[in-house]
Amino acid sequence: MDGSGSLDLHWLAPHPALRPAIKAAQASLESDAAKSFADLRLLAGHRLDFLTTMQVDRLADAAFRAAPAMWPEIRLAMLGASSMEHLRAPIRVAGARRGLQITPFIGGFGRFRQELIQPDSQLHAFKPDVLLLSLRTADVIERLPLGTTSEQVDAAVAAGVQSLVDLWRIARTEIRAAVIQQTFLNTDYPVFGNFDGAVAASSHSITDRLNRALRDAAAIESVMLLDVALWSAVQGLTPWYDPVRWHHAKQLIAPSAAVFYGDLIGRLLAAMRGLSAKCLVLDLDNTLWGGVIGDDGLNGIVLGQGSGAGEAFIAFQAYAKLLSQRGVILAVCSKNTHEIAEAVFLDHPDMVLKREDIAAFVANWNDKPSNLREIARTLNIGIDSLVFFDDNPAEREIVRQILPEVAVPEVPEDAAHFVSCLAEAGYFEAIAFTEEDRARAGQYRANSERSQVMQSGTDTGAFLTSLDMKMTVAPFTTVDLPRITQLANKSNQFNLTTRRYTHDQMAAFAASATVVTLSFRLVDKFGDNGLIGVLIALPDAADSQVLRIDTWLMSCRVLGRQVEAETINQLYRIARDRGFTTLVADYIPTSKNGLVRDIYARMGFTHIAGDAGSATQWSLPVADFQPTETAIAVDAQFQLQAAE
Amino acid sequence: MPDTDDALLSDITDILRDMFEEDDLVVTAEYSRQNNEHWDSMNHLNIIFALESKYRIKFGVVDIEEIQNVGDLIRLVKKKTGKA
Repeated sequence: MDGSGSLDLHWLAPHPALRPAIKAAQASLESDAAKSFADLRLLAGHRLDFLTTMQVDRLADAAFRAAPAMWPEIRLAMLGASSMEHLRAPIRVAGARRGLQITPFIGGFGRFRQELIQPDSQLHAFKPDVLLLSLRTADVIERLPLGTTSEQVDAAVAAGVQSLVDLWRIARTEIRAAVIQQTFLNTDYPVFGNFDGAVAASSHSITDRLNRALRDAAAIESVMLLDVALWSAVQGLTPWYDPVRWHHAKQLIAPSAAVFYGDLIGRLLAAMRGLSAKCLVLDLDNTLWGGVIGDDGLNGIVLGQGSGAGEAFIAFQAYAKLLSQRGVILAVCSKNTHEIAEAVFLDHPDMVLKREDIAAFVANWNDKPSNLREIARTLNIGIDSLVFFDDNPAEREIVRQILPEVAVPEVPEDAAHFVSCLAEAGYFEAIAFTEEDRARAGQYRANSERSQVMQSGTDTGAFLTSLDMKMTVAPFTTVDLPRITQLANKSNQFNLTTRRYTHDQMAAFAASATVVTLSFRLVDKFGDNGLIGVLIALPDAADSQVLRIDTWLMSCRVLGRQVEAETINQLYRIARDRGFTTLVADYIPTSKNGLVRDIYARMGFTHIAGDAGSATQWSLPVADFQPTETAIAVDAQFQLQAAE
Repeated sequence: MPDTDDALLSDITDILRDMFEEDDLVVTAEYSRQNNEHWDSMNHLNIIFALESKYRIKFGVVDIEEIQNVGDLIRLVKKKTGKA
């Protein structure tokens, strides 16, 4: 919280002269729109408060009018029974912070059910991509007498949640919008004092139960949660809810929380589009421990029991370890002698993070921007997937200047606040927690072992054979859908068409009798790589003998392992068995997928349309295809589908 | 903390200039919602929030409804900060 009691964006750097910068960006809008948008994104990435957010929003408004197609648009409909007008600017600016053009629509006060149900409503006409339901307990459960039994309360809660599940389904089937459900802000004071929680029908208890049931239902339905109840429990109710604002203006979310609230929506929408960061890059001295290992030595650094600071560094390491366990990759980038830095991980008894938790360990005397590039390259992820956490303001500044795409939080002076800094910044926002997330840390570790094997042997063929690779190919299954959707929405490099699909759209492909859906898993002697490839192919609308590859993407973790060749082998077999004569494929270039520009040429396809630099089209007569020999043993589970 | 009406008026002028994007806006104690079409009920709340944040004070439900012009804002800020 800032000094005035607002939830501020403390992890973002303050801007030294906002007004002139906004004016400059506004002035260049006509002559150089691209620069104005870059400036807008940069300005939005500073520590704005509610009022400066409105100023930046005016720039955003002018920019979006001048060049409506510069950024991807997300149409966000907000429905509820509270006043939400003051949230418009914070949401739009939170989008700008991430290079997204959010177009908000605020539904009629308290008319959320009618708007959803009636096909001729303004909501339907707006055609939202995402629907946000922001409700209060009273909107879904009628007031229960205090004497109501626990079972009756649960029944009312279940009915209330079911009424929301019904609305979610309407939103997804009738409006084809992804759903964000806001949890219920618990604004009620206890009636019984400390005994309140023992009374099932106290207002506070009901909202508690409602939130619990809502979270379970959202997980089952794959609906995204905007968990204001969680945040207000962590940060306190006061910045979130102001009874004066509620009674005077029916603002459920107080202006003091508006900017943070907007950012929560920004990060959810970004996560939905696969834009969440993937890797936390940590400095060492005064970031993971107190002091300088090169000067103070193993016994001199501050870490562990015995001092408050030493315990705070341990707590931060423990948080980073939890991030790693949920699938965030950890890396180290430190100005140190490699052996001395690494020795702390190997030999210091109080280290929570171990050497094997770090997927890329870079300790040398090069400049940090070069090292960050190297880390991204080693891990095969984009520079914009990195979050750089360093206590040294000079290092932060140089990284911000040279690599503006890297997220660089303002690190607090006191290590006791490192965890809240990272947690509230929300760089790693998740909308699912999959089997692959759980296994990722081990996979990256195995990857570095594999590349060591690769370096030790020069014969690639022998190396691949030595990996003992086994690939499982299957049509999309319900169990795999969350991972398939996640992978399809975040793969940028090995992604031929970069089409993004929601969970529901993927489910529709899976259910279709004509669409060919394939998912690929790879296991080798170092471990399970998990689900690493997705392919969707549809019979061509004009010629039913032509099978067109709509989507093909692969995790870059398994690049150079012949998975791509084996993928085309498998697709070929299906096409042949189902009587297709020709495979047709597109490559749609983006700023990130240059890697696969020539993949179809390498796979034996013929170039049929499109110039280099633009979208290209490729074709392959099924009768002419010769499957590529690979070192991968295949377990194909799609015959079941093909035999239907 | 501003001690005088003039200092307060100057702070409020700055807030209104930022809010209405009028760099040369001149404001008096009589300046009110009638003088500016942009001073709608949404911006009314925003002006109040700006003053609350700046002076670390809170207006109540009655205060918010009382405020008609800049003079009311000055009077209430002085009351809340104990300068009246």
